[in-house]
Amino acid sequence: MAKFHLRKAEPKDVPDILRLIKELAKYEEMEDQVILTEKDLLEDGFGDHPFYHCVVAEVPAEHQKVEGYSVIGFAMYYFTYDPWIGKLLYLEDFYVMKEYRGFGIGSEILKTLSDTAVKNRCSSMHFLVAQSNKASIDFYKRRGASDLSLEEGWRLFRIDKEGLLKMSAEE
Amino acid sequence: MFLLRKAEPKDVSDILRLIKELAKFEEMEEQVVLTEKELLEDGFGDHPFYHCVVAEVPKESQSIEGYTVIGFAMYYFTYDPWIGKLLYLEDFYVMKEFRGYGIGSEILRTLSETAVKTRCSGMHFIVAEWNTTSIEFYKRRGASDLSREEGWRLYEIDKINLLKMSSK
Repeated sequence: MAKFHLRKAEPKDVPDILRLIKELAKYEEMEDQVILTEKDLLEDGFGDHPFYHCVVAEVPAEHQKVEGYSVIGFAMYYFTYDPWIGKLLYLEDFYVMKEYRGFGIGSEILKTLSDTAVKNRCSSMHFLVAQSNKASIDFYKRRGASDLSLEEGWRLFRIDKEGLLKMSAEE
Repeated sequence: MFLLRKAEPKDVSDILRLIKELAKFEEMEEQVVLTEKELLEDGFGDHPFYHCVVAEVPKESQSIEGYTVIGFAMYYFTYDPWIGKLLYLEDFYVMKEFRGYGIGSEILRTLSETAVKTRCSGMHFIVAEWNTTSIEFYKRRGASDLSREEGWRLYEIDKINLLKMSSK
């Protein structure tokens, strides 16, 4: 049984956060798409106006299974706004290293986030899941999650940088 | 003739009115439980949880009921762990009698400028799959359907279940 504790991320955690973001992206076969740097993460998360928040899971030095790493899981979240009900907690990334799964670390992270959401008077937690990701879908459904895309027909759209520049240059 | 500007605290009652009008269009008006007080605290306090752009017409052009604020867009900043900051468009609405004059296009152009100026990598938003008019409006401006291309589905854990989890 791995001993672990959860805490708010600090500036010193930025290299570990980037490492875990890349590991999760690798699992989704998208590792080369991570162009974010430690500098970006530091400015964006620990400046005057944080654009994201992180919770990290840490194990004591003696429990390290993988050479040199004690930060072995994380969740990245931020607050969004629903014009009908107000504040929401949006779960952006959520990952525990393979060697540390099965010990309830993921559940504990989600519980901590639920606490945070309730304390901040958020009406609910939102997040995206790829429809191919059955394991995650089951994990969330066991905790009462509902598929709003299925129930309400919502589809996520994007206008990328090129499209934005094109529009903003139009007269 | 119209002008676009950043919303101010005084606009809160117009913003709520337009939110309710848009919800009515989606046949969900009774679902709007947000109050003017909350909109004020959440948008104009120390830490704004949303930003608004409003479209205003001169008094001579006001709506049938006497309104001069006749359109709005609500947005905030989100974060993509692969590329960083994004601008997220949450609500976007122009009153029916003021459509067809390019107000919507101008609002979207303003938001694009804001996104570029604040170093966002893109703009995200959700659209209901049955809303073909809006889908076409966005596709004409280069929007791609990430739900279709990448299979993303939006999930929710509501308050009841959050409380359940946090009390375990």
